[in-house]
Amino acid sequence: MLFQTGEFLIFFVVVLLAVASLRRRRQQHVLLLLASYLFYGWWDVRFLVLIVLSSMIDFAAALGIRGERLAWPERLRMSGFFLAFSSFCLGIDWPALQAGDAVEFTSLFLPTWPGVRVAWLTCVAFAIGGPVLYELGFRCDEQRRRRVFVLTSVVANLGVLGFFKYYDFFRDNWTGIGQLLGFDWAPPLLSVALPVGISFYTFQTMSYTIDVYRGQVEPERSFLRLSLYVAYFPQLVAGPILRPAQFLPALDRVWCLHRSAMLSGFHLVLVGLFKKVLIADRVGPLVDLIFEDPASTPSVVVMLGAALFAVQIYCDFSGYTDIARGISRMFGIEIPLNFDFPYFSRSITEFWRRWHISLSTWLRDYLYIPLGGNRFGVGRTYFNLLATMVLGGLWHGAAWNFVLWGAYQGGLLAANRWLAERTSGIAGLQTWLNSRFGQVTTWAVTVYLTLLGWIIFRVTDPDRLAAAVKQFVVFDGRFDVAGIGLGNAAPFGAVAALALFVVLHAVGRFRRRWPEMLDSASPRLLPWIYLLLGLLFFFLWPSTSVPFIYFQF
Amino acid sequence: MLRTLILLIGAPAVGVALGLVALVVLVLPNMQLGDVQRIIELGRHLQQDSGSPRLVFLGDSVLRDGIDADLVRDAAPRGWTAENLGLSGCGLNERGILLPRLLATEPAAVAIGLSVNDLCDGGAVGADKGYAYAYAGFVDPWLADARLGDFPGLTTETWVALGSSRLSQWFHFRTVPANWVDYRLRLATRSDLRSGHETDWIHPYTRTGSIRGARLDRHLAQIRRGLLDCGDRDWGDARNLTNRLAGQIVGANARLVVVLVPMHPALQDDAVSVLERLKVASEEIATRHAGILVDATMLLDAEEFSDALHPNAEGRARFSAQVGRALPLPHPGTEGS
Repeated sequence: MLFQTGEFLIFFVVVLLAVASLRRRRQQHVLLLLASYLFYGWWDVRFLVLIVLSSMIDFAAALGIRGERLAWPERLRMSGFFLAFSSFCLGIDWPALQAGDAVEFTSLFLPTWPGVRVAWLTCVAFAIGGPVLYELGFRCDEQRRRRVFVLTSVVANLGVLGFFKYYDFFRDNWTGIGQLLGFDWAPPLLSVALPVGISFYTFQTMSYTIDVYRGQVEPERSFLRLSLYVAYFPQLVAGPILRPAQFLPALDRVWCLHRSAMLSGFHLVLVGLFKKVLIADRVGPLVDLIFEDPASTPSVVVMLGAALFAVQIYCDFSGYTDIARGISRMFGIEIPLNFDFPYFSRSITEFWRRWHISLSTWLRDYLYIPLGGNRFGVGRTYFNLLATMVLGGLWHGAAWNFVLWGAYQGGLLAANRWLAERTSGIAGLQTWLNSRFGQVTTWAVTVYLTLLGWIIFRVTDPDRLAAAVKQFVVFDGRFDVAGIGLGNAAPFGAVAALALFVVLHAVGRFRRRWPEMLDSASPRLLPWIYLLLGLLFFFLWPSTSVPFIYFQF
Repeated sequence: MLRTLILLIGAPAVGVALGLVALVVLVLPNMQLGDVQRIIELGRHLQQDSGSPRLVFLGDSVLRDGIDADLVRDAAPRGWTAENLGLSGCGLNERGILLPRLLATEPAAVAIGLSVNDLCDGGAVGADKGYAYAYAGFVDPWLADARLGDFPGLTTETWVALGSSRLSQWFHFRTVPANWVDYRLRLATRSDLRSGHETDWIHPYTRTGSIRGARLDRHLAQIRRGLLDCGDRDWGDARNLTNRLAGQIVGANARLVVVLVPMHPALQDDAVSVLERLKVASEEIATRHAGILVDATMLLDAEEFSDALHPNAEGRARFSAQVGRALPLPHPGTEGS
């Protein structure tokens, strides 16, 4: 269910009104959780099992870390719930039903999709073995117990993520290396489907148990509230990655509709939709076409493609975040900012403070600092930066270009740090860097390096990637852009969208953010603004809904 | 709170409603639909009564740019009139979509342009075109009795578009103004493209110049890759579909003419085996339906192409003349007299 579709609009209005009609906190949480599961199950009901599994493991592990033992009846109740829930999700042929196939009633049960038996048996094993293994954790002394439970959570979450996201990638590479070295054995090809949003909710749930382990948050005593933290639908599939302290306290109060929150949330949604459907989706087809055959595309067009992709990915992802924040604000839960005008950064370090803030701070807090951060000397600091960004790149997708992109970003961060350390004492240089010309120059260099990075991110095929990078770096002086086959991708509309983005983005940066401008608009003016936007959306909304880019991660 | 909800949902909804009214009343009747405009115009054109005996050409942009209907008429035995209904990207499925409506106008002969690409991948029809065919009334004669499986390779999305309601079609074409602006700007910035071909059924070519050098090499490389890819594919579905279309043409008492369109000389060495497959398949189809086969694959020199695919003015003249000369007398009874 995509945010920009009619089905989501109906879903959202119904859920909003239904939750608002409830007067008890617990009832509201139950309904929000059911709505979140429905929202996620709309893609594929089977993968709901993973979300519930992750919620259960982290719920029990966090309590275990704190030494609060779940009683046997409670454990058995949770096991029974999990068994029933997984049987519901796996025991009915949802894929056939969702595809609209005509399924006979008798063949509706016990579906035959590949792996169904293994999946169900794993669930049974977890339901039976989980409570017993949980008990074993309490046989250790306190320090070991805490470690056992946090490790269980981390290994289980990363194991699920690793299997579903990286199994085929590592299997393919293993096979390739094996062939090179002359041995034949390869793990079986499973063609595992990637559950949407798995990287986001896995990192989110891991941060919960790690924060409990570090003593930064109290373990959640309500499984319902923790499940809602894991599966909260506005940010479930593409973030921002919320920390428990950012979300759970908001559940302490009864929520009711507030006019100001509704309006302000609606303005965020409008701005997010504008970015997504009027900018990102409009430039997307031209980006696809340009990077289809970069070897025979003039440098100037490859550069245009990189700029367009930079705008596309920003508007797509920050548009999603704006919509998620707006929807959540209407439900009374504030989601923090995830993008802070990253393309106005004057260094790569600054870029990463402004781009996908929830991921970069997650990587900093749960990877870079535990690796040692900058505490163990210069060499180790550079290594930590590189390792963090390589893993951050791999987080985006199971492909070598993401690894390369991560290494590129890590290398730039290390170089940035090295340069800053070497030049910090040169007074003249610092004066120049702070001058208007120096600021523009460092901004331009940062933009250039960022665009090069986006090419690595965008082009997965190694040959095409090499060609695109070459065309971007070595200017070929060709300007014969007419007739290179871009006509079908509405190039003028895409370039107009790019220009519109630059203007609106600059206004937002140097005056006020657009949602805030709408918030402060005169109440008399608002209906006309909405009407005008309705008119604009009508004429410019693309005919087909394009999924958000970050859904694949 | 109710007022707020009404404001948040109602005001944009009024904007959408106003947009819809403006689209239906002002935009669609007065503004062209970009690349699918020719489909709409074809729907209007087929409502007009035309003189017969009439030979109509059905095919993609190679045929559209390669055939001058007047030159065909001049080269053919006296009595023929000809029309070029070629459409950009009009593969076999697309011809299947528009054929029933065309045959209802009782043409004396239907010439189907065939290339390697048609027989290896004739299935794709964009949803945009699907809506255009539905909007122009092409699906009314047959949709109720048809199913998606009749069109191998057609996507569900296009099938839905073909069966869409008028309201859905309006909603789909709401991006017409934006597309129109893009289309016009493209024409304005390209000196080698001709506008106005959408309503031209005699010489609807679009390319007025010829590309050479590196640009031509790139285009040739792109087409060559496609040809090599075609060699590995199974042509069975496309061949059956062509046979079905031929059967429909003959069943409507029209003469079948199978035209193998010219191939750029620079591609022919790489295409020996696929060309052979194309010729065998076309001969079989023409023979089975008592049709005429015009093989123009090797007809043109490199200078007679505007790019790697489409004939230029010189190529158009030779190609049209060859097709015209291959036609029999228009009235079967007068053949040999």
